Amino acid sequence: MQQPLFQQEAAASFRLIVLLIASAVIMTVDHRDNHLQVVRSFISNAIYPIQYVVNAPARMASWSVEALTERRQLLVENAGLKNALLNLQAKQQKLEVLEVENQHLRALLGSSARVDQNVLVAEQIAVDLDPYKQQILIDKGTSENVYIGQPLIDANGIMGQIIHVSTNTSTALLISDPNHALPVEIVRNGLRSVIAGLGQTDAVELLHVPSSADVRIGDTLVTSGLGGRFPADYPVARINAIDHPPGSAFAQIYAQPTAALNRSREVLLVWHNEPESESNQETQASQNDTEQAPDS
Amino acid sequence: MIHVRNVWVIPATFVVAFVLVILPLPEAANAFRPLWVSMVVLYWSLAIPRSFGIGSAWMIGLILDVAHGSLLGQNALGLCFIAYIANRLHQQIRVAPLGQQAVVVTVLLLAKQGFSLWIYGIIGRVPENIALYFVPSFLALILWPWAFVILRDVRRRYRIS
Repeated sequence: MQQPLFQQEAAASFRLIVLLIASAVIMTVDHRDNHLQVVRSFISNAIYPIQYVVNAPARMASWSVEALTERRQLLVENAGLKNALLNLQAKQQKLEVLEVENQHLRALLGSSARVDQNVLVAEQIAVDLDPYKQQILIDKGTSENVYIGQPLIDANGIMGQIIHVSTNTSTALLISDPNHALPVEIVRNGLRSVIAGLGQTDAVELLHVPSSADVRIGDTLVTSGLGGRFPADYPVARINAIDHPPGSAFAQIYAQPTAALNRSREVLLVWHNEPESESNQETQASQNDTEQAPDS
Repeated sequence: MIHVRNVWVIPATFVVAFVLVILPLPEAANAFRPLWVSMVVLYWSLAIPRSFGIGSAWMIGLILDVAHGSLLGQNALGLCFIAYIANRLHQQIRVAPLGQQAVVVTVLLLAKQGFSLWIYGIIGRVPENIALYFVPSFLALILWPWAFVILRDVRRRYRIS
């Protein structure tokens, strides 16, 4: 039994209008808050097998590189790594003393001690996302206690923060995305500012810096920790261009991120809380959910 | 009618399309990726308009949004709109020669990209090169005849009509 043609068409038009309105509503909700996280992570889990399959060649390639390297090459690499480790250990010895001393001084000053940070290595999943957004997919999710707003770093600096999580994967927004802003300070003189992405992986912009401010090419920017979302004192970028447009009160300053935003395959997730206090971490996560800090 | 035994064929075509959509390409080529999922949606809404309607297109759109990491509903909006048009005009479009079909499909894909761009504009994230944004739609001029023939063979093989 088929319906008369006219009724069918009317029903289809009605459904179209309903769906268009539904799209508009969920886009608004998704853009404003994270209420649709459940839907997103459900669909995310459903397409995980596809992402897994697509990622398989990349994983296989890295495995075969490991398995088929020559012995000589491995020996050379091993020697190099031992050297680097020795260097780092030597530095670490000094660092431990300094850390204790720092805590003593902080105690003397009556300021709170800095908390230790806990990290987890995650691997980027080789799938392409929206080419007009700077984001990456990594292979850790809620099963590893990843939370929304969690900072992501690589060996050289801050990469971005987590914006969506599902069971086995999560999506991170890179600091180079135009919608990402991050409070920073210049190491040399402590000048505070905010950097915003430009949509390119090799440049970020320093916002609201007066023309008269003491900023030089080559200055290193570190996180100031002011937004509360990122831990303080991680390197972010290095200033590589300063322009003073005539008539403007602000300087145009560009910096290059120190993290290899488009190359790092291994990334680190940071918990900047005590790892053992689970409840503490929970509140942190929920705070991050609700708080609309400047770095979201 | 679709035999229950062959119902998996339609999701399978979408799985292939999704693989093509998230397959890593060099960064320069990423912006030129053909709109595979949208093309498969258009094929099924032209071929079996009674079973594959705008609701299915909308669901596929949501999955595409999650796979892309774009705003939830951004692709769904455009996809259910073009599926609606394809459903309405399937009798005219289906009998047209492949070349003309490709032109119609390209126009529909342009409309879908237009919706998506409009939403980018609303959330303040307009791509720098807007002309480049529409290039993937034009790839359908070349790719649609192939996609159509392959999907038609699949459809006939599994007797989906």
